Amino acid sequence: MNINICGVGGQGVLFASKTLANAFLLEDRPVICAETHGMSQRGGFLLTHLRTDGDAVAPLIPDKACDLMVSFELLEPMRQTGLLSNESRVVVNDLRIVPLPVTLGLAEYPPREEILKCLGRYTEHLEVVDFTAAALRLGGPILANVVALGYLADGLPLETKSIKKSITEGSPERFAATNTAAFKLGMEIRRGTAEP
Amino acid sequence: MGKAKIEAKDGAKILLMGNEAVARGALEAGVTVASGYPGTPSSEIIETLAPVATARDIHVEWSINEKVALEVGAGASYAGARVLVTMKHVGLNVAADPFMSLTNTGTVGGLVIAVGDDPGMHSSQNEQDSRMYVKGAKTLALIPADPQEAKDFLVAGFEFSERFEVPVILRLTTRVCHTRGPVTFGPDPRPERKGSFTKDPGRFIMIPGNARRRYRQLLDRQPDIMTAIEAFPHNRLDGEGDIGVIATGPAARCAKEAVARAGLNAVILTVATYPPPLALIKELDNRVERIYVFEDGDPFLEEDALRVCTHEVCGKLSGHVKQDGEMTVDRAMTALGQEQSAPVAETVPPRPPVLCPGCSHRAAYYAMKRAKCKVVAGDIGCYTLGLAPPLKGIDTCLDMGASIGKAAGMDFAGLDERPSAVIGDSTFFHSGITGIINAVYNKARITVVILDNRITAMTGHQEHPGTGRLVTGEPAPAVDMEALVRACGVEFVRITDPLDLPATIAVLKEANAHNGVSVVIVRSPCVFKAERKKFVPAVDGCEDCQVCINTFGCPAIVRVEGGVAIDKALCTSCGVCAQVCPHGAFVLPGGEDE
Repeated sequence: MNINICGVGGQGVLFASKTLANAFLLEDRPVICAETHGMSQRGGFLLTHLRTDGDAVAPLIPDKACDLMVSFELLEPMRQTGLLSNESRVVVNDLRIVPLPVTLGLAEYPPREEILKCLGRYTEHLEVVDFTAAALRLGGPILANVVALGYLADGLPLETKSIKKSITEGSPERFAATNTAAFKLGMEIRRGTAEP
Repeated sequence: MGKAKIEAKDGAKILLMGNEAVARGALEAGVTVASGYPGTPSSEIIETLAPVATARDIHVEWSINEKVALEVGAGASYAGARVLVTMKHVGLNVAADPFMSLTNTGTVGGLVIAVGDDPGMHSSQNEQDSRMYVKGAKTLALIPADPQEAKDFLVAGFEFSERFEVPVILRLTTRVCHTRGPVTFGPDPRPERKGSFTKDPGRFIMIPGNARRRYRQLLDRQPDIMTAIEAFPHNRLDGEGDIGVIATGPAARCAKEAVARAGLNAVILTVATYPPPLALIKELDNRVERIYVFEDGDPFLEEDALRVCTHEVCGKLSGHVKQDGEMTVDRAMTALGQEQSAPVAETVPPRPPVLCPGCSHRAAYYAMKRAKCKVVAGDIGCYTLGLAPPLKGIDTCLDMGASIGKAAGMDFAGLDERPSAVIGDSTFFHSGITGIINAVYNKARITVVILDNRITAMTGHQEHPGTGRLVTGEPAPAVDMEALVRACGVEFVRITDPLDLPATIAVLKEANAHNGVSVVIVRSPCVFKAERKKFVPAVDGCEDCQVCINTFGCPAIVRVEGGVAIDKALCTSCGVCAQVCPHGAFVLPGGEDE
């Protein structure tokens, strides 16, 4: 399985992918997770490629081979449409973070509908969820990543308890309770028992 | 979270980033001295080792630059320690001088240099391949493809180093350094840090007579090194077929996946060393009809294959593989003749990395513009991001510490405008000091602006000789930058706070009027470390002139209907916007609006 997680520096992309990678390891499954670091941390585009099982041995996901793309920002999946096929599931946080060149009037941020239409040309499995709105109810936008993990849990080839354990192992103690709540809320949103 | 991950027990299987795995490898190899200079993608090796260093009595340091890091390493090795030295690929240029002669004296305690190459230039100014130095120095490199190998090859590197008395390169690439994978731990010997030095002038004093003899000995050791390379178990042939594949590092993983996806039958030679195992390449050549070579960086492996193979060799030189950028599965598929439809690139607004909201560098660049610094030689660090609009604060960026030399060179070329140089504090210590001395001595007329944010920010906030702390967090003497600059012979030295724009502009104007080298230390802690009184300016009376956006460009200032607003979540309370707005529309607490 090939998972791409992307967003903007500071949104918790690395925590989310590290957590999932560790959950696979907890089940003794093969896993590699390539991260793009460095200059991306200053408000730039940030992405990870997480690969498990099968013939996945290279660090990066080949073109059109992404099974699941998760973006914490609306625009970012458009940068990576080369990874998508009609089978790809794309889960996008309904959040616009305006890049500086747009503020300066040097580029335009496409309207929401246009972004969704563009992604729709690549896959039929597109889900837009406001993870940030849910996260804000729990205390802060940074929790959107863990809400997203909860939302994804049912669809992943992993035991939910492995993801939960991985979150606990990776969180400082003072955030453990909030992260658990965020994960639970994400699961409820997916199951339709809570509002995003 | 208790005990460090890298201290888990023998046999543990833990998810580690490649750089963390190298740090664990250092423990398993019994390293007692580690030195390095930060640089993406290598920085996390020293950062992972540092927190466990004190309790284990391992000497870990951020050195002033890569050259000194390797010289510290050389001395420690002469005194019998096992030494790990870390740097990014361009850092090896800085360390090249000691490196090229260290193979002559040879090492005593094992010495491995973990070098982070950056194919694709994710965070670098060039794509150079560290294997070129290995060839020149007549030593060897081990080339891992994942975190497990990064750890295991580091340990193996020490064995090679001690067996052949040479410094060994662990050639890492971004996709190893910053890839996480499961790593199974080996024993953790915890040796005592106890050096001893046996005098041997004929070996350690590289005067020509000694050097000629030592170089002959190094050449005589080459066949033994090659024999060991042929026997290194990670150099191996797998599979059956008419096609041969020779590949190294992460490119070998891409090649294997491409062969599998294409459903081809191929004999694959995984190469984990440089020089490569020539006998295995010949064996491959005997078994196949055609050979493909996949490697990140320069076509070194391909050149060696061309030397010994009788069949056609397809790689970068033959035009089958693109010469620049990272190897990917898709590139390997294309080279193997598999039709690949190129993905359509959608039009997406760029999201470049930018100076953080409230970053003092933004204020410094703004002030330099107002002080008529017209031609600005840039340097390497966060402040390189000042190139972007609206600041457009620098005109050049070449290598670490280069700004001062470049500015002086522009002056010597007879430029009408007085050139300026901008250089960060860590870069100044790294290699800016020599540039200052040279400029003073040769009577340059330049303004040097030291952007002193009290940390090595770009690579993740590492300490340096000016911060007063060691990598372990222990207090240390802080070098007095102002006194140092004065001692270099600079007569005009001023310190200014960039968050006070009028004062900074005035000082810069004065500096530009000085006939000779003037140095302005623009000092304000990095926004990540700054302890600022928290406030968010109120916006009152915005006339929608957009001067703040078009001249200053703080990401916390956003466009709204009829004007601008401050994004509360992004604002870091620097207060500079209030000094930029011509209408006094940003109101700071306390009633000051200018």
